[in-house]
Amino acid sequence: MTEERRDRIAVFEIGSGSPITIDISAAQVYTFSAASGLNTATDNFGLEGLSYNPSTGTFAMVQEKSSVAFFEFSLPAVGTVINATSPFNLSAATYGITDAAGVVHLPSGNVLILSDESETLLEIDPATGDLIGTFDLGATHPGGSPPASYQPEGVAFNPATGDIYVLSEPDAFYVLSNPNYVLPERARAEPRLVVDGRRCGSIAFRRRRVDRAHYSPRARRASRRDGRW
Amino acid sequence: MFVLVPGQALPWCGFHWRQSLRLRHGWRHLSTRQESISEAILILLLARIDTGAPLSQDGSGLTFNPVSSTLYVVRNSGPERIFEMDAVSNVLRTIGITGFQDTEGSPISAAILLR
Repeated sequence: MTEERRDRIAVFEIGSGSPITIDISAAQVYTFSAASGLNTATDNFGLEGLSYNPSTGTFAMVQEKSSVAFFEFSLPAVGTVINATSPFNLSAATYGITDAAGVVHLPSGNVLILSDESETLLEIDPATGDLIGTFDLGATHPGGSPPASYQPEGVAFNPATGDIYVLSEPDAFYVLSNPNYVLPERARAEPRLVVDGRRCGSIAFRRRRVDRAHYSPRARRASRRDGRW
Repeated sequence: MFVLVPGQALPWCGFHWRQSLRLRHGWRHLSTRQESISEAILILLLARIDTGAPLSQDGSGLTFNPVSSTLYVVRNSGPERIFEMDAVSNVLRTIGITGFQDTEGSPISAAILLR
């Protein structure tokens, strides 16, 4: 988890049971090297989004503003600082967003970057910075008019179903589904977690059979006729 | 431009609607497949305006846990908290966190792997 105003991340374990409370003293806290290039001068324009790629054992992170930035890093040994890198320049001029609020990895290795102010999801290949796709979240509202305060702040992805989850600060939650979703072959390989170059665990994604019966057949036929599928 | 496709209400959630979307002219569709594709259409399955009062309009981060198929919502103030919820936004438990400040995005699935 990031602490935006402290420009650092905390790694901790959540056990089972409820209620539970976790104190920061139980977390491993990591700061970033100056060479990482984070904006540490402005309290509330810092680390807004964090994602973990189980296929590579690396993390991705976005900085909200001044300037909008994308970082990648691996967890170093405890007690040392993180040296993050920016594999591409997430500039407003290139990508048309004025801030970044969230990031999540897709099984393909691409990342989804969420912009609060621009109400947009971007799919980007982090290795090249290529813009793969964009999605206008404002269009998800009936009539095309989003609420006055949409403020999407968080994005998550379910690799088994392809569903995209968006959390909006004013207590709203959205689920976006792609009925054509297919889990990429390379994502079925055993992912891993790497800390300080050491493999620490593994997890396997399993494709889950998803009941899509609630999608209207009539709507599907109409969409195909219109050439939208 | 977008095109709405009529759909019936989903029975398993409260306030909701459903629509298929056509992206703005000149924009490309998101690809969540192995190859970049143009036919992907994202469908809004659920728009629930109440994720549970505990968020208090301070939701700041979201992550999916592939082990439990649940989501973790991070609240960044008032005070900082983590809420575990299911995919239709029912809050399953509240996790208190102390000593943290302005908590944001949370790749909690990684922490689970450390166990």
